[in-house]
Amino acid sequence: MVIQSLSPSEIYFIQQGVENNLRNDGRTRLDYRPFELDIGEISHAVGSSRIILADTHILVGIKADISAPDPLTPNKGSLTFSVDCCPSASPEYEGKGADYINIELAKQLERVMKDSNSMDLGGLCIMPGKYCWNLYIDAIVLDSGGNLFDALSIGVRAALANTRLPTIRITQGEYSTVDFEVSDDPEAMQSLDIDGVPINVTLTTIGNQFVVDCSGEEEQCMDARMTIGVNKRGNICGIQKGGVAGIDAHTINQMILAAKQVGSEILKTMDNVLKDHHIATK
Amino acid sequence: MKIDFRVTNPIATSIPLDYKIYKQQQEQQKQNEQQQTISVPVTTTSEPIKKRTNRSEEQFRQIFMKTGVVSQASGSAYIEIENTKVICSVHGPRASPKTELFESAKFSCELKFASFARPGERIDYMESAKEKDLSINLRQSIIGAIRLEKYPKTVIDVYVMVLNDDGGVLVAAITAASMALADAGVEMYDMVSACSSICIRNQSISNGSNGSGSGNGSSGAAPKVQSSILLDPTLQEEESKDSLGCVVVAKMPSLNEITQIIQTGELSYNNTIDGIDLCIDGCDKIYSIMKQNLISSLEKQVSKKLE
Repeated sequence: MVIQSLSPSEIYFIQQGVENNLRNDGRTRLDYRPFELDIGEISHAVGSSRIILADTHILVGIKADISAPDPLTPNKGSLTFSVDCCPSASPEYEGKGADYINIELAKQLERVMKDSNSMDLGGLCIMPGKYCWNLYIDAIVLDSGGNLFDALSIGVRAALANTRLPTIRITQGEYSTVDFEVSDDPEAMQSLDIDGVPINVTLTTIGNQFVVDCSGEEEQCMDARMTIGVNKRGNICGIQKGGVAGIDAHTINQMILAAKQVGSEILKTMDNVLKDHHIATK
Repeated sequence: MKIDFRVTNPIATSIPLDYKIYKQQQEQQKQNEQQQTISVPVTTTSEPIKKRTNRSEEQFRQIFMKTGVVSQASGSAYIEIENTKVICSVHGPRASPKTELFESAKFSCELKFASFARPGERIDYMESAKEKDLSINLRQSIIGAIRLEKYPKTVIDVYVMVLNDDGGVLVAAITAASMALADAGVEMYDMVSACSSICIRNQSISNGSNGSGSGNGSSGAAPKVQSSILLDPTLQEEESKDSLGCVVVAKMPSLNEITQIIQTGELSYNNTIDGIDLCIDGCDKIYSIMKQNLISSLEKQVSKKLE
């Protein structure tokens, strides 16, 4: 249950602001808040990131292990997502309420990142049909200030870009056994191709208009929300609607188009930053 | 108790019960032993889609609906979309077991697969993440249509049981649930109907004859892929390697409002919009079938009472 902390007149104020294209933090409807990304802070994880988007504070860590691939996709690795909203972040993440939100967030991440097949998982294969890398992507929501869906996906994308896996050489042992040889050269680490990995852009309808990247207060005035996955190729990688109210078909078209524009801009700036970081650490 | 819903890889020793895959694996293993090589030849186990023979690309499968199938429930419905079979019952509005006060009714949905509903491994009784996700989506599709403020201090529970899954489970579940709610006499703004479509990579790229032109190729920087959009996909079509992406739309047709929209897979903007448009048309058609069915079942009830 959302704890109602806004009064009806405050809600009215926000609604009127959105109608006039001026939100209560000075942004227009399609403006994104600036966000901060820290990459590779967790030493025990193969890849990690921390994103601070206004009050939203998310930590993503990736762990990897080796197991047999799914028989249906013998030459692909796998991704497993989990999201944990800390009860300390908001009282609505206490007890059973968190379960519901955690699953919704993790499933949306899985839908956008994994089910869209936009990420090349072939690079995670060590030996087709026998061994592959499993990446366990765990996100912790430390503080919530709205727009968790987008922040999570940006965090996960940055963590994937940061992921370095040791290169493994396979040699034929005796009696058709297989020997692994893990390279101990820290330079010879394998990184992932994240070019096709999408991010979420969540559009929220408030009154007759829709806004991008809404704050915690604006989320309380929400009628409906559409979370749209967008990748660098300009393709749509997963849509999920939330909220109670309906949206008409024409608005949905507009929202998808807006998400495409906003998403490609974020991806562009994000990739520039990631590239700079990559060069700087080398 | 906190349950871990993360999907873990199956244990290496478990064998999928799908005979085709099993046999392929066995043959592969034999080959490997003979060849004594390290690299395993990769074979794809999911088959390419056969062209639809019995129906066109924008045609539904046969649909059968019936209301009032569960005597103990306040309302119920059974739906068959060819081999997809779903039964739904609605309990309530009934008094809340808790004594707390709330202004509008509490609405909860639960979707469950029968253990034998899908090919392959047996489905566990414990609620999986997939079922939970489907339940959340089902609830979100329908909750906007119900006049919850009319039923203070009550709860409405919807239980959906999937008996057999042959594609379009969510579509069948949403349709069944709104039929059952109507059968229970719960006040609604409109009934919700749902429809799904799938975007498929075309086989006939080489000769350039794109016979089916419902959805045209992708645009922009995307790799040029000829694709077509099919309505109401089966499980085989959904899980095929040729499937690019899937769209499910739930809609209140008389209010012309979309209550739920889910897209999976990577689709170009044009394909997405085409898929959504096709689903919206499909929703209207399903809605008319739902209406007819409800009227005829009501007529039957009235005539029974008059006798």
